[in-house]
Amino acid sequence: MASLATQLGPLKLQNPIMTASGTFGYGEEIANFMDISHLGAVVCKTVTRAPRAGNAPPRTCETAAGMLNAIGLQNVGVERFITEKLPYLRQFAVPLIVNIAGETIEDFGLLAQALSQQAGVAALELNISCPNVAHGLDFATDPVLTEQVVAHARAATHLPIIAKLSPNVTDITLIARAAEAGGADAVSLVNTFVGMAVNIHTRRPRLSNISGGLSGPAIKPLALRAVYRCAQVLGIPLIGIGGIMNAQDAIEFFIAGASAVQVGTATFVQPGAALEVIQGLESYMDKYAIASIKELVGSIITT
Amino acid sequence: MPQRILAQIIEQRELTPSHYRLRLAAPEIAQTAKAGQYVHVLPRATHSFDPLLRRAFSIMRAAEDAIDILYRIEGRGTALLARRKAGETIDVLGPLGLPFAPLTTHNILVGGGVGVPPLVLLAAQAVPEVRIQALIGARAATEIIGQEDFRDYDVPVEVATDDGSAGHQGLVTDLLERQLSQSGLTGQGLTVFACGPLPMLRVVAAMSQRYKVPCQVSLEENMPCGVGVCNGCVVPVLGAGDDYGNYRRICVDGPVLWANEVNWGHYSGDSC
Repeated sequence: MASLATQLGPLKLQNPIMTASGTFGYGEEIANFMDISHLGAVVCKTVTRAPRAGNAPPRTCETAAGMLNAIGLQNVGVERFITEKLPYLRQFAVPLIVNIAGETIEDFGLLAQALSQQAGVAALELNISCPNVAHGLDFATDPVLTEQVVAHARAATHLPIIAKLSPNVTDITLIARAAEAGGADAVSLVNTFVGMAVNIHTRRPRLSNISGGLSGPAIKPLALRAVYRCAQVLGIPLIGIGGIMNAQDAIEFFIAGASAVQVGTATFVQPGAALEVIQGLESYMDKYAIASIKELVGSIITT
Repeated sequence: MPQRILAQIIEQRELTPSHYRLRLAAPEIAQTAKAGQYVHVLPRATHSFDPLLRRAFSIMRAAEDAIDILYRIEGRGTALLARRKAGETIDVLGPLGLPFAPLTTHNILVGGGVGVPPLVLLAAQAVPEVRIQALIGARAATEIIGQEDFRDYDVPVEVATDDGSAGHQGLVTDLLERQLSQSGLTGQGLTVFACGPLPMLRVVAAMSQRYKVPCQVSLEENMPCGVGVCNGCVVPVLGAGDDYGNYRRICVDGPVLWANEVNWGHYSGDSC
């Protein structure tokens, strides 16, 4: 049996498949459809300091082989997350990665500090790349700010830190290196691509926020190239995200250089999609006699 | 508990060139479905990715280990669904959502267009002691949904059509106004249950409030996941809402809401 054991800096996972933030809630709903303890890790929906109601509807719109969303980081806020959501998530024997977002650098530090004191939090993913809130993208489009926010969170916590990067930049490798320089243990990429859709009958945007983040199979080739390029220049592990619908998609990301992947939009279509990716990955590794997932990571042949 | 099943198509019946009624073999869903619940259907083949997401359809009939859904061709998903044939299998998740509240002594069901189906199941699941009046609105006689089903359940039906080709020429809410003003049943254990286009639901909600009759509405929004994780299908509500703000996810905390919970003034229903 192939070994899927994965290490992301100090974070040890039984396999490299995790959920993507914002597609898994806080676990309660998806637990009806899959055994969460089989995942490599759980990444829960973004938590902010204060509760956020989110954007006005309509918040989503399907597009060709993809979808736009502008949820607007609707969440209960960190205090209620700790008292109401964390106890539930803690019960699964799977590392919990809490995704956090702030409006300021200080917010990230305070959130990191508050969550570091809680049992059952294995790592933090810094959402410095949400396209659907004011200033959401400011950090991840600027290498100086990226390094500062990561360094600030780094100083506030002993937990492993993953910086989630935006593809809405000229050169994502510059941002990835800035995150590494700031002390990130890993980077996850990519968040959604900013896009829009228009209703030609009403001439109104299909999202109340006008623009939203594009996800799904439509973005997979774009995300894959971003991972490939960053893998060439980084000394820390990468987590690939973007349109992974099945094991074949995930395997492409491993070969391109991702040490782990997140399954996002696929969960909306099949609530158990992440587990199907794990099963498909095991079959592939058995078929090609790959003993460890580590042999697959970055194994792309370009000569 | 919702299940994901690969359901075989028993029958795909063309009612009009744009209206279809689909019967699926789905014992797990048929045996537990309650009126107001829906199924989330993947119109494409599992290994194609376009159109990407499932489509939500209210359950119209749940009997003999099969479920019926009824739909109008609106876009790519329903167009694809209409091409699926008997014998093929289709990926279905359900039953999902919260059902209608129990029927009361007297009940008026108000359905507009393809909003009628959940009301048909509501009538089918009624105990004999309750009284039900169904009011159906449609653009034209050819597009009246559910009239025969209600008759099968011995539920009296009144019809309104936009063009007057059947029943009252005008709106189904004209029929509701007549019922509420003449029946003398307001305050006598009367409840209104409605599903249909948003403009109709607004009028039904306002009219019910005016006559002080409790009213439940079944709402429709773009529903990417159907299981409560994407937070995409929210509608504005009065009061506490969906855990975080004055919104509620209609996929799991609906699609049926009490009309007086909905913040109609902030509800555009401008879905894509």
